[in-house]
Amino acid sequence: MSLKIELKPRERVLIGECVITNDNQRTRLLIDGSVPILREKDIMTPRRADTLAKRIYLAVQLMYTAKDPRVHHELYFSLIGDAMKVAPSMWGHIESINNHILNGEMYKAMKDAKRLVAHERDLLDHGARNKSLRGDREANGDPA
Amino acid sequence: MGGPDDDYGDNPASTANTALNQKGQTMSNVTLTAGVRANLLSLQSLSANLNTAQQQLATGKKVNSAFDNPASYFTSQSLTNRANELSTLLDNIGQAQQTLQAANQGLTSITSLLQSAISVAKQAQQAPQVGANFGALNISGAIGASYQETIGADTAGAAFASIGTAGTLTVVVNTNGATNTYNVSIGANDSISQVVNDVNNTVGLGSLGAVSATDVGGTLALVANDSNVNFTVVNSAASDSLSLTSGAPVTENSTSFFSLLQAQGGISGDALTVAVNGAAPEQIQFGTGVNQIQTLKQLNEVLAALPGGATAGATGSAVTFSLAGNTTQQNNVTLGGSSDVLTALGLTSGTQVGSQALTNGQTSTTRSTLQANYNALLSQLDQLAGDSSYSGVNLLNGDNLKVTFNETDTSSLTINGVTDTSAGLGLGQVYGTGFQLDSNINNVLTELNNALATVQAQTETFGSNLTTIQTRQSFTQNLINTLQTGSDNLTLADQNQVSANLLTLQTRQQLAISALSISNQANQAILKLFP
Repeated sequence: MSLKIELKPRERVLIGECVITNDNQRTRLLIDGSVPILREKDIMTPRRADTLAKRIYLAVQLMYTAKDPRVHHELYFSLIGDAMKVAPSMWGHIESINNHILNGEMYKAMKDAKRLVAHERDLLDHGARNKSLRGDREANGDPA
Repeated sequence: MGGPDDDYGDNPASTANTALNQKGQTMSNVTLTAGVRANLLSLQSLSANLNTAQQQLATGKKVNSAFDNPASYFTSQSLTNRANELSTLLDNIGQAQQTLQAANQGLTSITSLLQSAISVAKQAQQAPQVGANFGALNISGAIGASYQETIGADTAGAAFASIGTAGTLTVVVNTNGATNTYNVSIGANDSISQVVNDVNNTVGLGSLGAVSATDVGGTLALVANDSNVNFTVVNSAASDSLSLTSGAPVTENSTSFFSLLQAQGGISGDALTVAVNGAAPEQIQFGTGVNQIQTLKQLNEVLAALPGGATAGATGSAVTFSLAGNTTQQNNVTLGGSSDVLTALGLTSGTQVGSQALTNGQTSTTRSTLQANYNALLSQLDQLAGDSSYSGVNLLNGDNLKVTFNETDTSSLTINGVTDTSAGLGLGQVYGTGFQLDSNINNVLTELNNALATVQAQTETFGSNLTTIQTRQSFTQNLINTLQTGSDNLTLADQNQVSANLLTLQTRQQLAISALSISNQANQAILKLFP
């Protein structure tokens, strides 16, 4: 069954190893075959990947779009290793990403990576919100 | 830290628990002052810490039991369990990889055996054929009734008689719409042969021109030279005297093969293709354009010049191709082209071959030897296909291989085995005089090339399966390492700590990202297109 993609004017989409830019009208594409397909809004670039979760998202994206995903394994595992150390609550999402990758469902892995980015935003927001309240608190973070 | 409960007191894995049990026993026997008790407590607590540290040193883990830190302990346990599950999977994936590699090696060897077999067969073909007789090949097509050309002819209405008064005979010729007028001076006492010469020697008429004059048993006749020529004899005293007209001009029309073809639905550009004895195929196009064939006469000229040594022609109501018998090559003619043309000419598309036979008892020793070599190569191929197994699975002899990528078995890859024995590849031993005639060797070569294409396709399929498996293997191996390291180093941070850690990481990870940009230039180039 063909995959249907509807593009807005000027919207871009990555298909396989090329970028397709829509002209000034709406376009509907039907795509058959198995190539990585990413909409512009789902694409992470190294410049924008400025947090741990976004970098994990980027690493998953690189594995998804690469001909040989193995070259990105080192990067990915160093990132999730960091995540496990500093933010264990991320692990649930990462575990789910891992399972999708093991199952070869890279697109689902991307979706979970997106959830991970949202989770990280919650964590960072929490930190920012409590900074004024607990600014004088011991920084070693040991629980009471 | 979560305080221990006596309900769990018999848990031998809990070092903290053991320390506190000792405290319980001490308190039941001796009464201590508050100061001593405080000291003792701090000592015991120190000893508990020491024990923990020792345990950590021994196991390399910060969290060894549920009592050290329940949340971390259970997370750590789950990571370890997951790592163990994945290790089992990894073993299976490794086995599958070995099996595929064995099959791939087998395919490589089979490919080179097939290539050897091809070169043996070709070598045999180069050796002279001994005692071969190839029969003549004759093909003929009857031109259908609806496609019979007519040639315009004006036959005199009476036997020839000299015209008495010198005069001019005027003939207007129309070839495909182009009109030309020819005037022929006829002498008063010209005989019939002189009149025939008068006409045929006029430039534009005669055998090189459009219309010829002939003597038909004492009667003069003007006949168009080809079926695309129409002509009119202009009425004059001379033409009346020659009985070619009787008081009015006479127009004679012809019907060409192409016009008949068009009448039956044919179009300009319809073609007949002929290839004789392996010569380049000749495409004969019909129509009225340049280099197109309009009439059977033109067709006859093209067929007479056909490459490949055939005697061919189109005359009257038949098209014929004839090849003489010989001792070097089996005769063959391949016909093709538009069905309109084939129908009109009464021909069938396809290849027709002449008969062949070997003179009894005469064979080429070289060819017999090469035939034996060929058969030996096929036996080797069968052995190879049988020997390409790993731990009992032979993908080249019909076994399938299922590789499971996750514990729940929802992700797996089934590699369908193939049968690459000689029979499975459509090859067979050659018996008797199978290698004595080139045509038989050609059949063997066709089979070999098909087999080679099959094996190459299989190599690609197995290769891509192998890449998939290796990718999963690499991922699983890395994941196991990460899970094991993670379960050893697990620390529990509160949310403020997490937030701070994440911010710290952002700086540190610039390094990882620059490594990324080096490792992945191609992918980066595409990402640069996005802001």
